[in-house]
Amino acid sequence: MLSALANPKRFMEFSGPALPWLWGACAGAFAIGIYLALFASPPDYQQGETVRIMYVHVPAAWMAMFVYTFMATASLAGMIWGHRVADFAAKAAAPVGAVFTALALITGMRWGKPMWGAWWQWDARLTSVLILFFLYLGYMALWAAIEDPFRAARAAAILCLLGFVNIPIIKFSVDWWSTLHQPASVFRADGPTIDGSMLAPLLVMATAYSLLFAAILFVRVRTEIIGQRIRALRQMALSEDASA
Amino acid sequence: MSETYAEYVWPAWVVSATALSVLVALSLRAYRQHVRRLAEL
Repeated sequence: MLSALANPKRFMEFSGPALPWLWGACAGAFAIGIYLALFASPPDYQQGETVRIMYVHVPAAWMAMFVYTFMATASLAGMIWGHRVADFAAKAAAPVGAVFTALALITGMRWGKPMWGAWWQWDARLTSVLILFFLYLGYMALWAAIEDPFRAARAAAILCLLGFVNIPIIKFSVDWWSTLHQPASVFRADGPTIDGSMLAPLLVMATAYSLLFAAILFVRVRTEIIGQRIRALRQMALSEDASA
Repeated sequence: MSETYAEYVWPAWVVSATALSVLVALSLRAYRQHVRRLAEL
């Protein structure tokens, strides 16, 4: 399936009809998620209404890590098999991941102030997520700084793979170091510790964020493929002019 | 609306909705521009 989509023509044929369905599913998931998160779910017995920030903060934080993992996988595929669509996918995902990371940081700060009494703490989880945000910015800057797209893809892929070491650090920072941030409460070996009335909106919002990522990714990869066609056509026109 | 809602919950939701909407709008605009450029060639 994935190797079939590595062909730009097949990707365009697949993503075109899939996009309206993706946008529709995304809108539906957001409608249900917003209703559950803001109206149907109860306030937390300790956090009160502030728990509703979790329904935008946690999915953003999950997506921040997932998108980077996706980029690292795509970068590796691009380096090993030389698939252009894999390079485009990694490039296209970066701004989306950067926005998710920024949102995880901003919404986390809005939760931290009433709960911890501080907007920011230089603890392991917060600092490693801030580093992830800078990795996204560095990755995008590298693509923008190198004119040749092939060289840019290779350099950015190396940076992305080196930066991937930060993902397990983020994930396990709450276990390895003493931090203010609470440990995992959903993805645990002994099952989630959250009540079902709060787990449902969290998972629906996470689904909505995932569908949004997929839809934006498809649009942005299509943009990259069309951009490559434009560059190729301009190159051909220049060569014809030179030979005439 | 409680003070917590106005001061902390809504801003977090509004910032998230705004940022994601802008991201979608910019991605779609870039796509449409590329489609138009390709059609012009």
